[in-house]
Amino acid sequence: MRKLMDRRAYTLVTLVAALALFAGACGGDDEPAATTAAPTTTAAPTTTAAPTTTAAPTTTAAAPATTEAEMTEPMDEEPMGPTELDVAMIMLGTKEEGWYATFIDSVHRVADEAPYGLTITLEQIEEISYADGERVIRDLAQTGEYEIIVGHSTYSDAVAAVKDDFPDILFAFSGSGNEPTGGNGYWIDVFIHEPAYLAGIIAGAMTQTNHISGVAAFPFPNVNGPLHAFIDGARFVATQLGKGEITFDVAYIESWFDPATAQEAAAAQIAAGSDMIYAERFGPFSAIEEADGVFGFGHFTDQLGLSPVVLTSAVARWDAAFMDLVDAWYAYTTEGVAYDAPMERIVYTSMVDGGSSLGEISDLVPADVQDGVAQAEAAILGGLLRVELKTDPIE
Amino acid sequence: MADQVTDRAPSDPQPPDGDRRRDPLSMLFQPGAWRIEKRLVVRPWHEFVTLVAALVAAVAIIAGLVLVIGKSPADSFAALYNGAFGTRESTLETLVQATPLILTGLAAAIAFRAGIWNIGGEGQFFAGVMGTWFVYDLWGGLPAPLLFVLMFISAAVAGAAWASVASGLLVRYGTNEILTTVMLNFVILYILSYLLAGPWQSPDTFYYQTQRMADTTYLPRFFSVSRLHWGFAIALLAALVVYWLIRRTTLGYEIRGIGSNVVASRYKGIRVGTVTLATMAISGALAGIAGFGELLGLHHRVQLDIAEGIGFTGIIIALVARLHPLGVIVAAILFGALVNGSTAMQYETGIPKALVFVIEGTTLALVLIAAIVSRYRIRKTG
Repeated sequence: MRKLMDRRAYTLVTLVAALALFAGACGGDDEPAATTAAPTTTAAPTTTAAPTTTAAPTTTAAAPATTEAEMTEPMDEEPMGPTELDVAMIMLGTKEEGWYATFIDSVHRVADEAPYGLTITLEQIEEISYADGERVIRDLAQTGEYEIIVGHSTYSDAVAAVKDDFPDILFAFSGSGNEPTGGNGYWIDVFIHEPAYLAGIIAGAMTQTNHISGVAAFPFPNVNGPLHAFIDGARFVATQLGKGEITFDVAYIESWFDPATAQEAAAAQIAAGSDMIYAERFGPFSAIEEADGVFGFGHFTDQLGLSPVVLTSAVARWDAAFMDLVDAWYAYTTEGVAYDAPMERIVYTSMVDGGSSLGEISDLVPADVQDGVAQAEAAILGGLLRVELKTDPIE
Repeated sequence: MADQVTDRAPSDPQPPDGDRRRDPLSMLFQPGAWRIEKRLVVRPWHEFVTLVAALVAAVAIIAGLVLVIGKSPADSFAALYNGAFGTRESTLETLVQATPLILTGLAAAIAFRAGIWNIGGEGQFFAGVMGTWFVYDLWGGLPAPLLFVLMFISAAVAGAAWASVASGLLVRYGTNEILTTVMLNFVILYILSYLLAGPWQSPDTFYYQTQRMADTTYLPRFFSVSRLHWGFAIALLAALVVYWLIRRTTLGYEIRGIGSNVVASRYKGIRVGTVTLATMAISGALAGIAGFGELLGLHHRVQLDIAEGIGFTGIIIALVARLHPLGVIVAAILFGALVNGSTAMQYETGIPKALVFVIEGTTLALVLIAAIVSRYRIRKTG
């Protein structure tokens, strides 16, 4: 491997220039997918000072007209907006799974920043099936304790059935398979194809067999996006290094959480000659650990600490998405700005938008490869490289 | 009569009297002093007392678990109760949750009555969902009443047909129906997965789901404040029909007959194969109708997770109800309450949902133990 790294050193120096050329090939102003839209922010106040208006729709009684006496009285202090924001989140799986864990982390990061001076709390409800979503979301709404309720998966049917009965609550749902509801039902999503592309560069540079793989759940857009980018990154760098054709296969295990099947799929791929495996689901790392010279890549959360064979991870960040929800709720609550969710999903695709990032890179990745990745990352962040988002199933 | 039969002299040797006097505990278990013996007649109050004891024990064990994880049992049970029955809406929602469980519980109960271990309620439920969608996909434009009838029949036939695969193999080749019904659950799930990824897939998405059905196909709801739909009435009616079938018809007699003693039944002239096929067809049809109700009453589109373990929970319900069709209604409502109340318990007390499965399992185990215990008694004979 060391010999290969030496040979590769000078070629990676030219990576940035090549990436710039590639950017021309892949670039343009194409929308990432037909169903996506550029990240949008609602008409939220951008200042963090508490607004002076008090016509909060959540108050049951209309604010009395301001009398002359009141107008002449000196104001001791600024009228206060809400100080607390209680968020409830329901999940299809458990909070340890990447899709949910990243959202929880994002909420906590936003809460730490205390936007608008808010104290944000998060209630997490696990293992709610799609079919049960309406009941649980309605239950949560009826408690009157939550201002934002997030069904963090394919819960648009549930939200559509409930949202009109609770017009003061902001509802959100995420990921593929949803349908837009408009009004107070927001459809948010992140795609992590850009960091997956960077992970693919590592895979393409380090593969010895020129055969790389992915173990994934279902052939859905959120799943396919990073897989396509992973292979694109690998193939690009392999071409630059003169390593020839990279072959790729993917195993869809037809489950969101089935580590045993994922492990078996990875073992089969290793037996077939694969030495770089993108683990879109939990499970492959244990199979990879048992093989020599095979490495894995984490998905959605930074999984470097999970196993010594992990080289890096494509990490999702929902901070911007959640902050936009907070903005929309705050604007509605303090200024009466009506909820007006777009009739399409709000996608936070790019590393620039903060929708994704590359996780920590293992020391097993040679320094020159790490340099190449850093240059490619800078090219993405600088707008020189645009990674195409492909969401169609991989044949 | 029971006393006459069981009041036999102990055959085990007696320990020395000195030992018995020294150790009261060993005295209790002295074969000559106390014995566990089977009742020949199990009266209803025997079952009732052991059932209550089992439920009390279940509550105690669950309370202990809640204490172990640092929560208040009283708060937890209060949250569970309020979530299930605290308001009119929550009570009605409990009935919504109970609706498919009644039907899959009946499906398991009637098969188990015949001694046929149909573990395929989940797959037959899916068959019913698919049968319903199949008709809608082909003839969705038909007038609503006709469409409803066709979808209902299709769901029942699909469920019956899927169950008949296992019963056909059982009758023809003696294949173990436990294995075949379990495995057919997976087979139909993958068939559905294929259909949802292909011919039935909504054209708007790569997701594994159909388009949403037209609102003219929704089952009517009883109240504006609740999702309780006509499927609940169908389930109650089904329970009465199954009760009548088992208690009042020749087929019911034959079902009970082969369930009690298949060899004796065969000598008596009962066509065991025919009864087996008929029983499994009825069982599958009931599970299929559950799929019809859930699709048209609640979900309105086919997805892979539409069953939520409804078929498997039906087995537990049937066993808890001691295979009694009307008992199934009570057990299903209790389990529906557990499902409904568990969410409130989760967000009000922070108890993980995994504990709900522990509650279900503990309750099932103790109720089954109670069923056995009720058939025995401890008697001092020394």
